[in-house]
Amino acid sequence: MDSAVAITGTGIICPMGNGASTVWGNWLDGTGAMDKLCEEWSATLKTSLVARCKHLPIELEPHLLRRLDRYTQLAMAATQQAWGECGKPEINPERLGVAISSGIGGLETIHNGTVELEQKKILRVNPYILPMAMPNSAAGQISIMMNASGDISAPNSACAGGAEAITIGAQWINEGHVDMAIAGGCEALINKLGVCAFEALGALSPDSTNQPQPFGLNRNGFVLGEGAGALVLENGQHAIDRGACILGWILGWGSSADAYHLVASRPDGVNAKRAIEKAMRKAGLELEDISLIKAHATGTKAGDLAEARVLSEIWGNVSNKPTVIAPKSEIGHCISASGPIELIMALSCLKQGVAPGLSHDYELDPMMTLPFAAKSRAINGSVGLCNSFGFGGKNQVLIIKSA
Amino acid sequence: MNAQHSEESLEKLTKLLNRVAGKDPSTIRLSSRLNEDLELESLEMMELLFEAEDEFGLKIEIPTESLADIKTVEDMLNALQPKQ
Repeated sequence: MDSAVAITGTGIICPMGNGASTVWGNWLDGTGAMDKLCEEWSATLKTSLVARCKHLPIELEPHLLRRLDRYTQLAMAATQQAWGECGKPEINPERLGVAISSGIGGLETIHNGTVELEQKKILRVNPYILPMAMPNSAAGQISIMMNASGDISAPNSACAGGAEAITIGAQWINEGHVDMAIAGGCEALINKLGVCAFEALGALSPDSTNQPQPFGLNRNGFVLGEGAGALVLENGQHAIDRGACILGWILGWGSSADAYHLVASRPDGVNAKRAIEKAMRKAGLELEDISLIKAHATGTKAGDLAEARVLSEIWGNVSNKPTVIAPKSEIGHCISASGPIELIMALSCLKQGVAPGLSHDYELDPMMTLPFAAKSRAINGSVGLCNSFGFGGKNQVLIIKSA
Repeated sequence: MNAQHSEESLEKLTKLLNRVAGKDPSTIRLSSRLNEDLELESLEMMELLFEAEDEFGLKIEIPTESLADIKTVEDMLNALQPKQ
């Protein structure tokens, strides 16, 4: 069996807004998404910008909500949105799967539990700490909320996790394992432990005024974001038969391991390149077929350099070069959620035939030799390639097509 | 145990049951059985005890194995009485 994988629903809760159309409008308008980190504990940190979700709409009773870490709440809200967009079809629960990733899980829950334990000096903690904190909590809660018993997966590959979850969902459908899948990623790490941990890694931009600068000459790290992105993936024929509005297609996927460093990209990008080539083969496409590349580009020195190098190696000699976008310039780095959110943003570009420009100017690194959408650029074509690279060495690539 | 519980204590526990487990305050009586009537799961029982530490300002020292003996709202209030 080799079924086509349609996208019939999208959900975004992200720093630039909620819902694909709102995010698209704000992107076009150059609406910033960054916030000042002004908590008391952050006063001595170098980093001072984060990208927070401003509104978290979720329909759930308060006593149930308090048993969910923020990362799970974000995922459930994105799922409710995506499921609404796909028309909330009646489906046999055994034919509906859930693949939702989080890089870290409920870090704030763990932090708060530890602090409470230390303060109380009583060896009794809230019994929901582990169910709230575990990295597959969001997937589990969504499975329960949707009564989805087809299958469940919670891949844990850091910044590539959401894209890996989409790949798993697409594979399930491609192989006939389920008819529909909710797939995506979520992350909520803007808390004391999360921000301090990323700063300790040297991953965060220390600038207090600059916006994120993916592929920028003076890039110096990313701005930590949060959010969730969810797709409803569906067997193409199933979608057609029920008269669903098909938003796009997943044409291919490819992955590899860097086998180099836990938190740094391999400088020559050789394994990232293999993942791209695998995805192209799976989709059966030529280089010229790609009109848009959604880069992973976080704004770190080494990571962006490796990705720029790989993209130049592959597409440098193609006459009709694809346009490159790097949405982390606008929404920050939402870790596991970044792949799904940015894939939906890329799908909007393909659908609208334009890649919005940057909301803030910066000088580009000459290593980026492909046309980068610093200013708004027309997209002539319907196929895009989306890169996601994660700590731990996961390289995950997806190829999408707008309907 | 037949300890006399103040209305204040019962009200406090009722509010806690509503906040922690979403129970309708109008259905909560001293004689309400936590499992059968209020349908509290074991994790909810533990959470209730955990939250009660703050709410009642006590250090609760109920061994986990004794939790099974707490069957009603009244039992719970007894367990939350300050130890002499």
